[in-house]
Amino acid sequence: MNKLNKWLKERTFHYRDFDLNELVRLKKEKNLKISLCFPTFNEEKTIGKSIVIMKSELMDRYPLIDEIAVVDSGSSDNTCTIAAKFGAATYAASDFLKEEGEARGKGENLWKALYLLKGDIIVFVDADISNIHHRFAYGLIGPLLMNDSIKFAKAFYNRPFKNAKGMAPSGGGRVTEILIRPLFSQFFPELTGVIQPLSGEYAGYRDIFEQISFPVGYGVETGMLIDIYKKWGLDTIAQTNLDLRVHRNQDIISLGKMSFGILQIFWNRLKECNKNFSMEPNSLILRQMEALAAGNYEVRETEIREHERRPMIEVKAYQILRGKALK
Amino acid sequence: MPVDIVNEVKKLEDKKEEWRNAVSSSREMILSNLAMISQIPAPTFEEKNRSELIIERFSECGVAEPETDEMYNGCGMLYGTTGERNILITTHMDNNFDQFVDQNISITEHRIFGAGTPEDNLALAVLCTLHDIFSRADFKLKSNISLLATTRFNGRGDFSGIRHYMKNCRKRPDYVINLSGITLGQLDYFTLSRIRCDITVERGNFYESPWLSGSGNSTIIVANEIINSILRIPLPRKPKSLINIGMIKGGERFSTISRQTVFRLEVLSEDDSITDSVIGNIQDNCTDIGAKFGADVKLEFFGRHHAKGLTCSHPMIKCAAEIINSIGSRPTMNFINSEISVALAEGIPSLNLGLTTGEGGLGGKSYIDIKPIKDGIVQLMMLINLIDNGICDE
Repeated sequence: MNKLNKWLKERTFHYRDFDLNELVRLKKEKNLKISLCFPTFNEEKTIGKSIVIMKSELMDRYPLIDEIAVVDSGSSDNTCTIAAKFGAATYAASDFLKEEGEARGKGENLWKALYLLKGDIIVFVDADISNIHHRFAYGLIGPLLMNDSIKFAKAFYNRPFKNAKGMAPSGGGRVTEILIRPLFSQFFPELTGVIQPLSGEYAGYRDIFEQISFPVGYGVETGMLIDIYKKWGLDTIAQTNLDLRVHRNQDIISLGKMSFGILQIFWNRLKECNKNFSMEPNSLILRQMEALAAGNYEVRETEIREHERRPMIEVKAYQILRGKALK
Repeated sequence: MPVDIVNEVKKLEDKKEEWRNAVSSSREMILSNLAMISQIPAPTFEEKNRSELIIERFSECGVAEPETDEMYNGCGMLYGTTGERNILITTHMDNNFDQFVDQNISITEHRIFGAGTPEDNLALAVLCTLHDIFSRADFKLKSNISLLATTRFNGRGDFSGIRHYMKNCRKRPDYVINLSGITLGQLDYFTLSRIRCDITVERGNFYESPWLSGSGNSTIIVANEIINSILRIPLPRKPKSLINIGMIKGGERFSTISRQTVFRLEVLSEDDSITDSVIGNIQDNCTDIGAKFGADVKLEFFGRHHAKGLTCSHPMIKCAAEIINSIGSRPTMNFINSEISVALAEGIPSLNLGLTTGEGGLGGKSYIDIKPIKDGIVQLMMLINLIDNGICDE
């Protein structure tokens, strides 16, 4: 627990911790190339703004990023046209590595981005963020450039969601709290320190990404996190608070599908590690995230032990009362 | 000898293409500034966060003396070689959308959609990018340019941001150019006489049930009487004058008598004396009707502007109109109650320019066109150039 909270303290950043001039200097000094990839599928409403901001702020104003690319899953809208118009390299995922067979999903786009992009560091940012800002990229590049032992940085944020009346002040993260955190508590307790394991924004070194497999669909974030943790340990992982992320919230049916996909990937990882459900006391501690004052976080532990009662028909007093005997 | 303005504008033909290219190369920066400005809500009196972003942008671009004043107006300077003239370029930061309205924009191939974008967020974005555009265009001036993003423009703000700036600025501007998101070609250089008024009708204690007390006690009925009396105030056709009752709010529910009704109106006229006379009429009517119904009628007048303006024979207006023609647009003149009202009242040659085409409004369908923004900025640069060279001096 102390180790986990120590990691949380040392490896949790805020995007304001990073100075862009300093990041540009470090990037130059380390002679690194950085690529930014937007995996897309019908994102014409948001892709234009995403590219414009990243290009203007992180290529023209601060030369931190060397290339911006869109890897698309076959959008039927104008996503690719708009992306190309504002200067992004656009790739249809299905046009590349055909010999590997067909698949479609965000993970497929990320996996092919490794093949298509040139960077030593690759930043993946979802293209559906309404309040896109360049912090969504540099906040993740920051930990990688500032600390040589960090190889992978993941985003977390406050997530208000849009509804019919406009903006609701809180919400989101339901799959994390209901599915992922209980699973991590039981099987990978150290990963409970990751505040939003399903966040769609992360950055890492190519030599990390190229050594792990990529689930094609919903499980890509969970699989990636577990694999990096298993291969390189918790200390190679960092997380950055990117403040506010506004996106369209998914309905419960979609979240159900997502959860089912994640479960499949999770089960595969459990099989690989030979892990079974344990009733040992330490495995029955649910670890949830608590936001403290001054923007800090702490893992809160609660033992959840489920008790069961036998069928009432087996209880002697009940049998006497009801005049029934166990058959 | 009078200056040949058509010829002076023609002389800029060669430069125009260079400037267009410079604006094109700043396109991403303009749009990026627009996107980030739009992400920060700025209802009137709550512009602080947006003001901080503007200053940050000024600072990052290398604008001199980026600072906010006591009203959170965002100010910056682009110093010219001699400082012979001072040109103030301004637009306002606040808008009518509260913090719960999603103001995030969507950039598509040819258009940008989003609440507030036509209502001057674009103008703010251009203001933040001007220094970068000028650098790329190697656009050098003798004059000093003051960049000003003002607060407290709308409604009860009543232009107090620009008023504060004008009162406290170190050097009085010689010219003022106000920027609007839309519409390119629009050229505004006179303001109407204006006053706004909140009228509140209130009743003391009485039986809540209209069945027992009679519905005539309702403040809505009293307000209705006042409105009818206002509509009976005679207004001349010339000078053109208007009373607009823009907002009304009153009552609580079906079954109770309304105890408070508030309505808001605006008086506009080409002549200050008409506005003065209408104010007197409204005051008299409210006193009479309040006494007749035993209701408490409160009037609050605010936002007084005087009818001021330039004529189309002013060289600055002639230059602007010729420039608008030269970029293939058509100048359309209209009155406007914008920041220029304050400058015009102080006798400073001032005008308002639109930057692109589009459609405004409170709905999510408001948009601006991307392509004409280039011409909108080039027209601004041409006008600044002519002012800088004394062509707009009377």
